[in-house]
Amino acid sequence: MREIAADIEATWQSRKHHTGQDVRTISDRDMAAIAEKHRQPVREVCIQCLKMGITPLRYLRNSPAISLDEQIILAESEVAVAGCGGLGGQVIVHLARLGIGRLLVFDPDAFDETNLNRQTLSSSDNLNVLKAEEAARQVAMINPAVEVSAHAIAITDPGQKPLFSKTNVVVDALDSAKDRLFLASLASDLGIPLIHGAVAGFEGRVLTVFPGDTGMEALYSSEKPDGPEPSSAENLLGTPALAPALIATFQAMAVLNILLGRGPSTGNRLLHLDLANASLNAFTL
Amino acid sequence: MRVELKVFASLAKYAAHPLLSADGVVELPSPVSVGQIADALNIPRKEIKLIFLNGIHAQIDTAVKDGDRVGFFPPIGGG
Repeated sequence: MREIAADIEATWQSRKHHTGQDVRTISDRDMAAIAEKHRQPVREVCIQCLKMGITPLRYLRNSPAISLDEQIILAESEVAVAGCGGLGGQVIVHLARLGIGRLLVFDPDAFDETNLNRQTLSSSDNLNVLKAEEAARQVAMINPAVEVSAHAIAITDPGQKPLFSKTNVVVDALDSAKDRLFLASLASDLGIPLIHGAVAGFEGRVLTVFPGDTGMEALYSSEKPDGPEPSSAENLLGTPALAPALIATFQAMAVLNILLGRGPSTGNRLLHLDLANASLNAFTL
Repeated sequence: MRVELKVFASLAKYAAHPLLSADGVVELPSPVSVGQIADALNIPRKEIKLIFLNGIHAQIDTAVKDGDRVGFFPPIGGG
């Protein structure tokens, strides 16, 4: 690590920050060259730079909204995103640009043409490609200092718990009640906060679930005394791109708040957003 | 008594009921439960997944009083 620090020290460049201060910075290209020379992941070199008070150019405009010390916390964090579709794809892009050090991405499906209206990782030239693998490919292009583990599987088995042994936050970007409830119970068992998001039409909601909270049961439990579950709203209204992008942004912000110890610390607070009526309502579960 | 009602997502179509004013107020004889408000507006109870009374999670048989705010949600699961 001492040799890496010496190379960083010999490479950084001074630059005027937009706030007017001179700051020590380093380019992606220089971090990649140092990483290659010492056979280390770019993430490790990036963390070393941050610890030396040197800001990678790619994070310069994160500050001062995100401080250098907070950028280190993000680079040393791991977030699991379950689902790489409309919500998950956008969450993954946000987390990569924020500089979350490790991402676990899960989705058993491949892109098809019906995804193109909303799923930000999908395009005409990656149809039939596995979503999790495409997420890893795109993150590598967005931010090489992020390490991605792509899992083309659903999270349906308690035996998968060891995958999350280093995970700080889980993001629920799934699309079925059963899978969401299983993920929530898994996260609760592991003591990991979960960020739930769901959309229908031009509306959507987000909920931070801390271990032991029962909010997800209120949203998805099938224990209805008077008959079968009604049809879910997204099947009646469709899902244009806008609500997934909005809710994914709220989910990424919730991840940031948890990792950095900011924001509202109360659970069971459901935020419902309606783009068509430009309204936001908060409810207590 | 007057109750403020919000119907979300796929339940928004029921807001056109003549008992519900343009600003979302319904006038009903008291006492009344959450479920009776749904009945009065022809909102099928089986389409309601989640109920809030004054912003707090409630049940179909929870009592409602004058000035309360009620919110109805269908299941929402899109991702």
